[in-house]
Amino acid sequence: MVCKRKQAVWSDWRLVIADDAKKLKVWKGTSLASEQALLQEPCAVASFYSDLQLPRVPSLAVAAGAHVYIYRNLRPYYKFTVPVDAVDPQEQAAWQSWQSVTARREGELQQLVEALTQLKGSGAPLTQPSLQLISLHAAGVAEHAAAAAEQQKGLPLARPSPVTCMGSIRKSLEQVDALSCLVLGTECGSVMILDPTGSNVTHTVRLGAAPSLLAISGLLDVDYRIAVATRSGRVYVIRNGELAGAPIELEAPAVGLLAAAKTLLAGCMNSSVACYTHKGKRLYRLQMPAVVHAMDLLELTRQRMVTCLLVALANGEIRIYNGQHLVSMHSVNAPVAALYFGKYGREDNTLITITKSGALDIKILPRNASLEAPPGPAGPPPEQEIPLDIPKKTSVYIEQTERERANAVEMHTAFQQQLLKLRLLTARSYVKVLTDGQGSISHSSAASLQLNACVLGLGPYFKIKLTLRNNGAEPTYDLPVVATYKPSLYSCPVNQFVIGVLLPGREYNFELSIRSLNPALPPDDVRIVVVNPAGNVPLLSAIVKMPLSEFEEE
Amino acid sequence: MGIFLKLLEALGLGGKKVNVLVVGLDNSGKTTLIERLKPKHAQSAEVAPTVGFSVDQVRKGGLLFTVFDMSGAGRYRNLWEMYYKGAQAVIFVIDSADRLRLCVAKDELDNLLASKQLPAKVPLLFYANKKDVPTALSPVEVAQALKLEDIRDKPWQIVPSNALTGEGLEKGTDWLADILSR
Repeated sequence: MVCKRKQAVWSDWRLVIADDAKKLKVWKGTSLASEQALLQEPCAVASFYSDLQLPRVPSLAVAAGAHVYIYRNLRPYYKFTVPVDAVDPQEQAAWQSWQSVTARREGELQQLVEALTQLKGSGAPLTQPSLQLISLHAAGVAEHAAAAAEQQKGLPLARPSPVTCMGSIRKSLEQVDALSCLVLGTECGSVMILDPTGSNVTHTVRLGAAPSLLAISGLLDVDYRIAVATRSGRVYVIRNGELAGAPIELEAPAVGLLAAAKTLLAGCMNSSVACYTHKGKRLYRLQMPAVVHAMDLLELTRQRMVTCLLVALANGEIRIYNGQHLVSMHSVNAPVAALYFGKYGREDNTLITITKSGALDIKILPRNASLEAPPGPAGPPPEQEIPLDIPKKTSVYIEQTERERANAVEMHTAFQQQLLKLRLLTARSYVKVLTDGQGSISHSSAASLQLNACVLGLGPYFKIKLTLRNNGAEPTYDLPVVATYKPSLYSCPVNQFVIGVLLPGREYNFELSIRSLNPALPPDDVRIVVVNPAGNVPLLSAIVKMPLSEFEEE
Repeated sequence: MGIFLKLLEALGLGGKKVNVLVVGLDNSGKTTLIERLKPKHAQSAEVAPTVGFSVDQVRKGGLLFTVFDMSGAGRYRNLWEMYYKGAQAVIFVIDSADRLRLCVAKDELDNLLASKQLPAKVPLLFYANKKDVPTALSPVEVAQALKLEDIRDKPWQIVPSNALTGEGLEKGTDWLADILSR
């Protein structure tokens, strides 16, 4: 059974199928209108309008091998042969020198192979016999390599360039039946645009890799883009006769390439379809459940403007995507070989499917079919748009954190400044305490003293207990101790005394009796000062906080 | 009754006015069919695809048919439903040689039957047109393809016809006149 079919819709919208059985079949409605034998296995079919004569009858182009057969009114009209590429002179020289030697020696073949390998390494395009020789030699089958080299003897070296893909581009008008030109992709890695008659090449663009698919948009004389997928898994965009930008690297070699309004759709061998802008930015990627076999665009232009993607998969499914949304799906019972959507006969929106089993399936889009994407954006759920209910403290914390993040340097320097000031202040105060004798420890004199004071009793009679300790090495003599207080609140019979001696390392206890004069008033502090007999600054001082006094019992 | 009506017809006096809607896909022969219903002297030899719709008056069996010839082109088909409301009879013309688009005709018929605008008991006359084409389907095959047997709430009839010669048209209009004059 035939497995590969190429098709084009032609004339009064009949279907033309060129199949591997070297047959050109034309279908009209549900019946076969004509069948013709082809000379070679076809690889591409395209229809184009080669002249301006009325009534408008398109020409049919069938590409096979390095030739394009052009049919008019289904009769062979013209054969275009793709120009042969020049052979690299060094390669020619290498073969000539090998062929000129009459008596064979061992190392000569090796020499030829080496010369050719070096040429290949330098990036020169080689002819088929040279490539075959190199690969046979590399595989280690020396006798086959020698035989292949012998076979080439006496034959001219040539680089024929078989056509790999074909399409047509309208020349200057948008109409369906406007003058158009053929576009060819050839095995030697170039894309050629022919003139409308199909006899001369007007533009040639070299890609460096064999193209496998073409996606053509625009008008040749105005502005056009030809996206070319190569076997190396890249997509080159030719814009107005020049390669535009860097090629797009696909995830896997392309099996389908389509040009929609502003995007390119590339079906890859890894069961995916990716959408790119013409500049090469990937917009989205659709993962398919099976390998992609064929692709086409579903374009409605009359009553409503809809552009959808049709994808035929290996499991027989045919899916319709509007953007990223699957809008419809149906199944045919065999893997699909080719897919065509467009006008057929009188019907504008027809989907023609040819399966690998050889069946032709025709579906017509109902007038009221819904192809709209489901409402609501794809991807993130709508909940994502609703802001979270953050507690007030959390939001304050977040604000603070953000402020800290924004002004980290200023805040750090301010903090360091304040810290330094605080330290300075602390140091100053400490020094003041040490020199003023305001605290309970004194180091000012030779003797180092410590004073503790506590209050005993409930009132109105209190007893203040003083504990003095000399931490120094030398004893101290004649230290006057004075208790100062508000005379209106307290009275003390002995409010000053002199300590005769304080020996180092020993604790001395002293007591002071004090009486609250008016327990109803709030208590006040009593200050105990150890005076330095030599100077006028107190040695030590202790502030005794007086408790609330009881009333005197009658 | 019949004699009286025939007499009226001969005198060219129609009593009742009937609005008839003629629908069908493009290129099925609606306009040609209406031309053949007209008197010989009023017929035009060439017809062009109808744009939008056109209105004609045809006298038949004591009835004055006001015929709304709707365009069958895809972009005008949404006009049909605008005229359902006033229709007292519907003529649906099918190209019986176009097997491929029978499914489209079925789709349009289903839309027509599902419409709420269409009066409940409106008679439907189907012309299986182009019966002269060798590959044409028989009216039974067309009826099966369109699932006409499923229409139970409306009177319907399918008639093979050839609008180019006018063959079979009489049979259909007679049935319609009979139903409408009851």
